[in-house]
Order: sequence, then structure tokens, then C-alpha cells
Amino acid sequence: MQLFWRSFWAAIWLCASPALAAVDDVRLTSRDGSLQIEGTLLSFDGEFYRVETIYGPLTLDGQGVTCDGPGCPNLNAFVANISLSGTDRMAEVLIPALIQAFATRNKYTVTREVISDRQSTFALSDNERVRARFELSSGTTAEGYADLIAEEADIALVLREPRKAEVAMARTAASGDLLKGRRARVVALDGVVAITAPGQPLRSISLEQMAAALSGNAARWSDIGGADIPIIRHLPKRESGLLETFEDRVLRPSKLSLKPGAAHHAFLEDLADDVANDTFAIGLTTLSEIGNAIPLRMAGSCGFETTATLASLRAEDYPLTLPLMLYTPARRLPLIAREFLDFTQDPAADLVIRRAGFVDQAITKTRFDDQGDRLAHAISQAGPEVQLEDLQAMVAALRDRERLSTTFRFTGGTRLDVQSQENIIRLARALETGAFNDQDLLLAGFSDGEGAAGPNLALAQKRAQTVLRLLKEAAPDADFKRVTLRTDAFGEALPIACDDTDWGRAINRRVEVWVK
Amino acid sequence: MSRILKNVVFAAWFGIASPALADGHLAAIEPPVPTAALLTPELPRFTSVPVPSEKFQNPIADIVARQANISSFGTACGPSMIVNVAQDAMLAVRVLAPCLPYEAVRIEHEDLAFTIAMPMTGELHFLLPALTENAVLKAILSDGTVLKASTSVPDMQNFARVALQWSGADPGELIANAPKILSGDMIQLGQPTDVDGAVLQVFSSRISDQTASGVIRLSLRTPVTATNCNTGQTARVRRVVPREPILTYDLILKGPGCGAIGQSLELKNVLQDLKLARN
Repeated sequence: MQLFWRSFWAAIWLCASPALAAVDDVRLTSRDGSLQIEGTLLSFDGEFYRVETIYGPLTLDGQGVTCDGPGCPNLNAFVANISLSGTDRMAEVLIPALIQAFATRNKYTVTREVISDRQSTFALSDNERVRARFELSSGTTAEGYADLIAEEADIALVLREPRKAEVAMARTAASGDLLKGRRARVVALDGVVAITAPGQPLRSISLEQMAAALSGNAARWSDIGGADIPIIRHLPKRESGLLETFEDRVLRPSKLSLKPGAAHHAFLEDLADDVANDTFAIGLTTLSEIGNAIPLRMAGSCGFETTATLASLRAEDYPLTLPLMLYTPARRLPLIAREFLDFTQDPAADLVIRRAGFVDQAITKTRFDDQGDRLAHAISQAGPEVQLEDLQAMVAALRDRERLSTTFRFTGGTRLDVQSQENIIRLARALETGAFNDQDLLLAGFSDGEGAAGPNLALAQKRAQTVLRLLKEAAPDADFKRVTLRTDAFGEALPIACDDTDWGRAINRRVEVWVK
Repeated sequence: MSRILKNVVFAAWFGIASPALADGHLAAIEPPVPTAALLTPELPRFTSVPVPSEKFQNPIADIVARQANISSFGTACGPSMIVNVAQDAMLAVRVLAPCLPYEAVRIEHEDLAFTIAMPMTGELHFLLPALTENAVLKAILSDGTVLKASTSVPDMQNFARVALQWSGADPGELIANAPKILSGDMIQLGQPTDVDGAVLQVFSSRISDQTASGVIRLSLRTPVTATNCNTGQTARVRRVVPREPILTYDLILKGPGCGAIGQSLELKNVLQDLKLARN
């Protein structure tokens, strides 16, 4: 605020300069006429002027000033222009569905102007006139960040956090620090899956076999446990975020690279249709775009199998969960854009997200009785490290409780991954609204099975305490007298994936929430 | 004069008789060509005599008044519309407007419309897929008469339907790509007449007896023409799928502009695909 006033006085001084006046297109005068500032109007969001002055961009409340000059906006005809750019995984189905639902909820009618499959504008009107225009560009995550940094987009649609080069670019472009503050919101989840035609008899492969088959390092189905017939590969287009994610998370850890010879598709719909029509094809796609093909189950060598489902993606029990995120800039967005962002985090959006074929982050409960599979595995894996007494203690602690879908996972040590950071906020909000009042929440820490049981148990306890601390910080308004929050740790006692792979261990390092 | 006439008679006789005589052979005799042109007959000249008009007008007005409510088929002019429920949640519609043959009629149902010309008889029959359980139908005739009818279609809850109304003279196409195991029908209604015209395309699938789960791809194709390359082709979508909220929205398909006249704009991602689950 101090800077603001200083700029004001400086601007008055500079008003005298005729050379500057020729360039400036707006003059903002305070209501009492005592202050004036001139500059080039960068934007007006219906509430605030953003003006480029010789001191850099300044934001001024429209209530307090009057505007003169050729650049002044018509206050009564203000239409909020919000541009969204980024990954086609969000721009094709999810964001249009959310804009439609947001409009319906706020009683706007929608007209969608379509330039191409990649470019659309949604005009939201009330009875009088158009109130907002959402411009949607469908491309890649990298394009989304580039547009955000160049201020050509107000909201980036992304599948990953910004890379180092993108953060550096944002700093030099003076569009702010991309990593500062909480800019990413996870809107929905999707899963990276390998698909085959319904007629393909092989239904389950390991992550390593999936990597080999899709990269072309396994050329025949017999190499991964099927018939002696060549594998026909269908992959997303080269620069797509989905293929990048697959290379980063699956191929690189397996030390494999993509071999030529695969069919690359610009649209995942075409990919899924081609795979569904060819018994010997395999494709890489997302759970939301499997079409008429069938996703392969993912098997671990120790007998665990995970499938990409609503429940497994929500709990991140499936190894290739893909968070779909909205990334916002440091500057202020128009009111309707902020309302839209809030709507995407509202429980009312959960149903819209599910109907559009994606996984929402609603907090749901499963009963202890439904965890039979996991218990059976825990018993079969028990050995010298995990004693019968450990299992009995765990069962006693969890028996009369239900597991929340909210699960916390760590990128290493005790740092939460992006989906889990979102989970903290979701659970904190639920605590603040009293959803768990008069209930008992147990944060149960688990570890992988690598190393000795003692340190693993300590690490699991430390993770559970980290989550408890973050939850309390994120929910300052929660009434902690009415809700019991406790931590416990069971170490490596209840694995949900095999410990012989990196991804299996990553899934096992977690904090679950059990409620009664 | 008589010789010319005789030649003509001969020519006519040969002309008729020769195929019979030839009996599989080509006619050997060519009919003689008239050697002189027929004279133009001189027409008598008429001169119009002014007659006081009211002398004739009254009886004509009488006749017009008497025939005003009778069509050229002798039936009464009074327009009407009857809507019945047919199988597969269809509406069997009969619009009667005997005195408005060939005139355009606009049928409206659930915010969607199509235009069609009345047949010569003034009696129009068609089957329209219902888009709601309590179906209301409106017919707007060329003379401004609005006919209304309604009926209840309980079977509608077993159908998923996506309807697309194309406005203007250059309608596009709604395309549904379904795997063989899934069933569905495309129903097309209306004729593109002029800028005020509209056609309706409805994809309908009975969900209650699907034997398989799957996805039906819905896409759009619209021609880029001189009339729509600047302003865009307008369309309206209504999606009625059981257990989903009913969705209606407008589309303006702008495409690449007037440089692309003659091409067509294909859009795969504008309409959300229809996901059907096995029952």
C-alpha cells in the first residue's frame, strides 16, 4: 500500500511531462480530485484497473477513481475475458463440462463459438447481455505454461508442476514467480493406462512389461506373456503431456526409451478406436479416454494387482495417477474467473467431473470389511519382520473404523506430492465445516518394506505427524475440541503393492485416514 | 393448299404405320418434308370495354366468402394437430392445414425446432423422437396460426438422445460412430429451406436393453459456404440422457473463415461422447 501511494505522488510529478502524456492512454483521478495517475491500461476486470506506469504495473480499485482518456473501458458494458490454455486432456471434455455446469448454476446461458477442435469461446450471458467470455485453447501443458508466462492466458491447464526452465522464464518475463504461493489446484484425477481390444486374452501385465511393450522393446506378445504375434503400438502425439508423463514416470526408471514404429495419434479418441478394433494392438491413453478398449490390470510380482478405478485413483493406490491442475498467475483475476475457480473446488463440481469421465476428489468412506484383500496379502507377506502381534494390533486399531478415500503420499522423505497437498486442503475444509465433528480421525502411517522394521515404523510415525501438523495449519477455523485427531503407525504391516519395485514402494509409503 | 394437306396426312399415316409395317426392319420411306410454312392465322382484334366493377365484385366476394374455409379438396380449412405416442418413445404427429399446401410449417419441441413444407394435401405426418417425458409440441403455420398439443411419453426414461438443430440454409451433419454391439438410430427431420429454416437431427439409443457397455462417438461436420463463412453456422444441442441433467446450449461454428469455402469443418470434441452401460 505504501508503494501504491508513493507511486501516486510520483505519477503526479510525471503528469507534467508532455512526452509521457502522448503515450499514456488512461488518467485515473481519485474521487476528491487530489490524486492522479497516468499510464497504459493493461486490463480492467470489472473491479480493478491494472495500469502500466513507469514504475511497473499498478493495480487500482475502480471504486476509488474515475478514468479519463481513450483507453478507458466502458464500465456498464464490461465483459470479463478469461483465457484458458493448456493440455488437451483437460480442454477437450473436462473444462467445457465445468464451464457449462458453472453457467447453469449461476443461471447464465451458454453459447459456444467454435473455431476448431483446438479453439473455442464460451459466451456466458444473463437476461441482459454477455457477462463473460471464456476462451479455451487446447494444446499441451508446456503451451499452457508458455501462454501463462506471456500473459496470453489467465489460467493454465496442466498435468505437472512447472519445470525449472519454465520457472526461470517466468522470472525473466516479470510475470512473477511461478512457484510462489499456492497457484496449482488439482481439479480432477485421471489414470495413465495401457489398453487393448476386448478380444485380447492377456488382461494383466506388470508395469515393467507395460513399459517394454509400449516403448517397443518387447516386440511380440509372447515377450510379455501372450501369444507369439507382433505387438502393434498406438501412442499419443509426441509432444503431448501424457507421453512426457509416461516417459518420465515409467520409461526412465526402467531405463528404456521409445523406439520408432508406433502409430502416434493427435486425438486419443482415434487411438482408443484403433486399439479397440485390433486384437493385437496395445495403446497408451488415460482412463477417461479408453473408449471401447479395455484397460490392462497392473500386476506386481508378489501377487498384488491394481486396476485404475475411481477408488484406486482417489486414494492414489494406482501407480500412474495423473492430477489435472489449474495453474493461476500471481496477478488478480476478474471476479467471475475467481468464482469459476472456486466452483471447480466445490463439491457441486464433483458430480460434473465424474459424469465427464474423470475422477473427482470427493472424500468417501470404505468399510474395514471391504479391505479383505489387503488383509489377506498382509497375512501372506508376514514374516520375521512383521509378527502376528503387529497384525493383531493393527486390526484392533482399525477394526471398527472406516477408511477415507483421502490418502497422503510422499515424493520422498516427508514431502507431500501435489495430489496430497490438495488432499490436505480438502480435508482441512471438511474439518472446518464440521463434517467430522464428534468423530475420531486416526492418521495411520505406513512404510515400504525395504530396510529394518524399526526405522520404518519410526518413519511412518513421522509421516503421520507431518500430516497432522499440516492439517492443523490448514484448518485454523476448525473446532478441534469437537473432533479427535490422532496418529498411529504400523510400519510395513499392510502393504498395498509389491516392495520389489520403486513404484510399489512409493505406493506403500503413505498415511491413511481411518474414521469412527 | 390441298396438296400440302395431303402430304401432311400422308406423313402422319406413314409416321404411325411405319413401325408396324417395318416389323423389325427400319422404315425405308422418309416422310416428305412440308415445302411451305403454314400461314399465321389472323386473330380478331378485341377492344376492352370498361364495365363498372361493383357489378361483378359482389358475386365474386360472395363466392370467395363461401369458399374461404374450404380447401381445393373440398375439406374444411380449419388447421389442427394431433400427437400420439408411437413405439420407441416416438411422437406420431399429424398436422392438418388443408388450405396451406406447400407452405412452410415450423415444428417446435423442447427449445428445438425444424421447418418443413406442407404437402399438397395439407396433411403432414411424421415421427419425432420425444425429448422429454411430458412432451409439448408446437406447430407454427405460415399464416401465423400456432397449434399446440401435448402427451406423456413414459418410455422416454429408457432412451438416451442427443438432438442437434441446424439453423439456416446450409445445415451440417451430426455423426454417430457406434461399435457394432451398441445400437442406436439417427433420425433426420425438416428441410433446409432458407435462412429461417432449420433441420433437426436426433441420435437415439435405447439404454434399457443394451447388451454391452461402450462409447458412441458423436461428431459434427458442417460445410463452409459463402453464407456462413463470416458469421458462422449456428446450431443448438440438447442432450437428454437418463441420470444426467438435461443440457441445452448453442453453438456457433465459425471455422477457418471465408478462405475455406467449399471445405468442411469437422469437429470431434465439441459434443461429448455418449457412454452407455450394459443393463
